[in-house]
Amino acid sequence: MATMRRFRLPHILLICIAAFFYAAALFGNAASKPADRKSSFMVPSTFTNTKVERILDISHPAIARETVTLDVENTGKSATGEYFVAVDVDLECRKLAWLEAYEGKGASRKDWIVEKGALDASNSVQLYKVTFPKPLSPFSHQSFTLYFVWVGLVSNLPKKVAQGEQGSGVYQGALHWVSPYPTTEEKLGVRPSSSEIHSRTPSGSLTSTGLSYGPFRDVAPFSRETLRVHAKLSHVPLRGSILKRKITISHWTGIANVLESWELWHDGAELVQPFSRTDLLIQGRYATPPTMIQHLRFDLPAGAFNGEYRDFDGNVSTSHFSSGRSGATLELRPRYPMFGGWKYQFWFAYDVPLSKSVGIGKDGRYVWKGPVMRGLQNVPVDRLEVEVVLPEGSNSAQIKLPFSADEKTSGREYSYFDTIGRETVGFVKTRVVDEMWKDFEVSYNFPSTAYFRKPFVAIVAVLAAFLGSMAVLRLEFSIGKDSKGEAAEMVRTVGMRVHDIHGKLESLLAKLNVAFEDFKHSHHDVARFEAARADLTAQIQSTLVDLSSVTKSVSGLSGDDSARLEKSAAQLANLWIERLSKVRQAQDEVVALRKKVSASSVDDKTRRQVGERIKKLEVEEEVVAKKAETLVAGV
Amino acid sequence: MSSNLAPFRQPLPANPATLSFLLLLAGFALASAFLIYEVTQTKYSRSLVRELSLAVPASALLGMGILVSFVNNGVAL
Repeated sequence: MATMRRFRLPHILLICIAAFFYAAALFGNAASKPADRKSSFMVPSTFTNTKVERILDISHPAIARETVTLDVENTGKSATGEYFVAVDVDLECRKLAWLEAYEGKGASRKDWIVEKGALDASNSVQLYKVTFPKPLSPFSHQSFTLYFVWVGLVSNLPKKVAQGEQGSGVYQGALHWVSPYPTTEEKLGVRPSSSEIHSRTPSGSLTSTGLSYGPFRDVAPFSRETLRVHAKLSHVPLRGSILKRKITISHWTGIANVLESWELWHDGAELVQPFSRTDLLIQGRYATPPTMIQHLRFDLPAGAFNGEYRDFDGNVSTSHFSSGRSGATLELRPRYPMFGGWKYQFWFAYDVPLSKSVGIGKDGRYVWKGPVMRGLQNVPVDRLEVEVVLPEGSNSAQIKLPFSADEKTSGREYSYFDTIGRETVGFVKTRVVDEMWKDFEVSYNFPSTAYFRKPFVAIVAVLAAFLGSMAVLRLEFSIGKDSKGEAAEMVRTVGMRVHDIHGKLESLLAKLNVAFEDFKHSHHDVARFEAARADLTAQIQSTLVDLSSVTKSVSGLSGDDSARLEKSAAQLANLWIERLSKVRQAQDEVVALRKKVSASSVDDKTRRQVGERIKKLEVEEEVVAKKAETLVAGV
Repeated sequence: MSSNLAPFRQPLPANPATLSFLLLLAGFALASAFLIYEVTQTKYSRSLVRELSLAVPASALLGMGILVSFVNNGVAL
């Protein structure tokens, strides 16, 4: 206790000092926080919306389009060109798909820059900054148009309907345009999903195109009042939750293969009772149930061909693909009819010729150009993933998009005949609507040497198969030494060699006969013939030497076959010697006769005798040749 | 494509079916000769030079033939 008492005072002092610093830090943080936060951003009150005309098109339940035509006045003291547009935070995060600002219409239309600005937390709005082409001087007016595309603003009411019943939807949004500036006069026109309106708040007035509200005068900044329109739906709300597009560019094939993988949802009211095929058959006799989806139509780029349509069960045959000059169309029939809350997952592919989508720039870079997507009209896509697979060997790919992507992707993929793989570039974008179906570009380097990569791979692969077969045939699979088998193999080899030598001897003899025929009928030059004969005879004799040396390789082997082969080879050599001798004798007779003829006249008797001798020798040679032939056949 | 870009030209003719057929035919002929040689020769009589002189051109023709046949069938190589 004494020790505790002794340290109590400094202890308390220490705690007090620590508490003071902690409190100071806490208050300091709290004081500095608002200064750091973007929510502190206040839009300068430099403009007044003198006239605002809004047209809200909710005729398609999945996509709402809002056109705001503005006339603004600079009520500030200095010239400014920055106009702020406010979007409710909740809507901005989940519903806004597209926002653009432009001046003029048709050919004279000029698009302005729209950038995402600060967050105004106090008014719960996200600000977007529209930059005028030139600053607007005080008390001057500027007219321009803002175009918003929203998704999922219309919800089903009732949530469930009968199978043959038409659905209804309710739109709930802002009656006044939420703006950070005061508005002098404002009008609103609504184009509902059908003319059959169940309820509307406020009531407004009915026109030929829908509903009309206003004019409202002197609307304060950030003024919020609810508009609610409940009407029958004349269109079925469809939504693609994921669309994956894979574009494979092939220089060898000269095509860009486009594969689209869809996950499509029917966002209409669900069925009250389980789906009944019987009811559908009965109803279908009179009219197709209004909430049912049976056909899908995709508009594809011009020149598209080789259309293919599949789902998880395989190929779906209920499709129709037609291609024309202006474009191609793919009409699909899902495997089952779709009702509210149902999903259908499928994919289709087609080819587009590269001659229509790829060009080569002056810097030698290839440029591929194609649409971000081409899908079902008025069907928003929650998440679009596009991947462009470049030809193997290409590098330094760059992608140029018509809008800012949520994420840019790159990678490498392996496919047919690939070695180093193919470079891929792509992007991810959430909430994609028809207005974003614009072309994008991918440029890349492709050295011409890269063309040789694929043939080289194919050739090497086939050559590997040949070399593999050669290696396998050289392998020894027997367990232990098979001397008997090896001996038989050697005998077979030598037998084949004997056949080859016999064939060679035949061809040499044929050459000798040709030389002799030439001598007899053409040149009658004995010296020339003798020279040719000496040469061929030498070749025949050297071949006979080969024959005897070949048979020596089997002389050491045991077995009857080797002995028989050796004997046969020796007999064959003797037969060839004999045959050659007969041929030479016959030729000598003719040569001698030719010499006599040239020296003096030869009587008929001598000629006849020589002829008879030659004939005899020829017959004998033929007999020997037959013997040799029979012998070789038996080897 | 825009006019400031040179048009893309495919390395093969637009319809390479005949080319593919001829390459494969020649390739198969050489491959058959290789096969016949392999099965008729014994391991002592087989010549590596002779085998390669058949296998290399057969590979070149078959490899190129397979590639062209893929192109002809519209596979994105």
